[in-house]
Amino acid sequence: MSEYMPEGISAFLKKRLSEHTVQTIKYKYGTVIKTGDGVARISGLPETKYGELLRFENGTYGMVLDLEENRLGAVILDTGDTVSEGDTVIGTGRVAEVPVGNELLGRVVDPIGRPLDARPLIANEYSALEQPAPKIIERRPVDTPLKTGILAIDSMIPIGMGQRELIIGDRQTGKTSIAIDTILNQKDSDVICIYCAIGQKASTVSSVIDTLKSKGALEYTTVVVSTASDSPAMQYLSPFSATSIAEHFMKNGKNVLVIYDDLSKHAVAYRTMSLLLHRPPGREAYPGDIFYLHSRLLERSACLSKDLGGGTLTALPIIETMGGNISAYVPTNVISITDGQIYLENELFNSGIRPAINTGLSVSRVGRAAQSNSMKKVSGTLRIELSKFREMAVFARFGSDVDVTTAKMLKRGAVLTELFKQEKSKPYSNFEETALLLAYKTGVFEDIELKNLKKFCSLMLEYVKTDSSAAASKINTSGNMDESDERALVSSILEFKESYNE
Amino acid sequence: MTITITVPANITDETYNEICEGFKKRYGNDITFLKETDEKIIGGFIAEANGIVYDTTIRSKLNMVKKVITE
Repeated sequence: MSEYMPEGISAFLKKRLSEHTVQTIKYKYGTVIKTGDGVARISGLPETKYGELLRFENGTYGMVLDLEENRLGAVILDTGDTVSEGDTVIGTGRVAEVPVGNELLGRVVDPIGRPLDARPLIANEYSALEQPAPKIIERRPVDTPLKTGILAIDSMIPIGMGQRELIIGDRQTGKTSIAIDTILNQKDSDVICIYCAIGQKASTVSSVIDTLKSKGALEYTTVVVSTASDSPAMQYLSPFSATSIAEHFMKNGKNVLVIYDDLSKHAVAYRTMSLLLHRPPGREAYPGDIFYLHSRLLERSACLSKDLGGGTLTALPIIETMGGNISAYVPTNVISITDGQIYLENELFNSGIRPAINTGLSVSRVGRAAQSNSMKKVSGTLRIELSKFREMAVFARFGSDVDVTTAKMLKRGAVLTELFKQEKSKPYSNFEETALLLAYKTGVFEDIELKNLKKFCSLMLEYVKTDSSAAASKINTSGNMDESDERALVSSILEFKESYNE
Repeated sequence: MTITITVPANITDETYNEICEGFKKRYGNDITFLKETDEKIIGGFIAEANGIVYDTTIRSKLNMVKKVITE
């Protein structure tokens, strides 16, 4: 116990006390007139702001969401009915805030910044949950790729830093896996990641945290959690909180990636809250401002201009559909807000094509401009080839004779589909992606049996990496591939192909 | 207008009246004062006027000190 020196402690306490001045406390108060289902009606407190935090008699916090002539409506930021009628309420004068800064890295926090990982969190800076989005003049076009390490995405649906790309699909189609793989792939880049779980099962969140921890990804990641048992108000706040944490990094010139997992649950939590506050329900009982809720959240993703430090905030919101119905209310809303979507299909997933990306329905509206030079050179025609293959494959199913060109196209299509299959948590480097697509372009895969393709690919990558290591490291670091690099890679690929026998 | 003033039981009438005079200066003479006693505040007083609370009690000052030390 010798390290706890009593003199040190008393000196410390004396210092703390000397800095503190005792003064008369003056505050405004109101009274709870009605409470239930996590919502309280309060009389008094005439000068309260919208979104202000209130403190109830028992120490619970609430947030003002309804301002009426003589009373307020507030949601209680705690589970269970801990507030009772007649309780006094004090306005704190502050809007909801969250701690921000480097202290948050590697931490798991709740939407108002209380640590959930049993370690104290001492932050120096706080930021309001609701912030205005960067203005037009403060932005620049998206121009840098954000590598997901997933071949199908990086080649056909590229994501740029500062973009908002929706991941949409039914339950159990690998939406979260894509998001987590993207976080894992940022390990050696300078991208800071925020994973925001909204209304998720605590067990799911815990396994995500375990995955991040075991792959060494937690040190550059912050996890903002509201579980299914948290109050709807907490679930409603969590993406805003995650965005505020991310924005702080962005404003300091960093590149940030935020995953909102998922916004359908967020919409449901907001619907619950709105109905309890007696706001009029609209389509599917969602309130009228459900579109604005998501648009103002996602509008905060940006690619800041160089004058403002050039930081970026990339958003990967996730939407869960029911029975593949992407024309439901919330999915269509979020599709129209984002700059593209990655559509995952149950059928593809079950037939073993994983990640189960439907390349026909998936688009990226700004990512093409942000693709690296090497990737642009090898991925130009993939989408067209794949869609032609899909078209032809339907006819070929009838067993009719096909001519030589069609047969070749079918084979190439099948190879491409096989090439895009990728295991979980095994991201490809920029060079590996380029080499695979370059090999596909040269046609070396066409006489390899499909079941041997994966093995051939991994052996080929190893060979090419050592054989033309200069080109490999150049592509990995700068993303550039000039003609001589391309020639070197192609010759290594062909060399390997000659030496290979099945 | 009504102002509720909570004071410890052992307060002298003189002090209590002084507090009342103070509020009259701020809010005018048309005030009804309600006196309540509470031993737990130790010293000082709490006045509630128009939804605003003025808290000068020793209890709340000690609570603030507690917060400063333990935070």
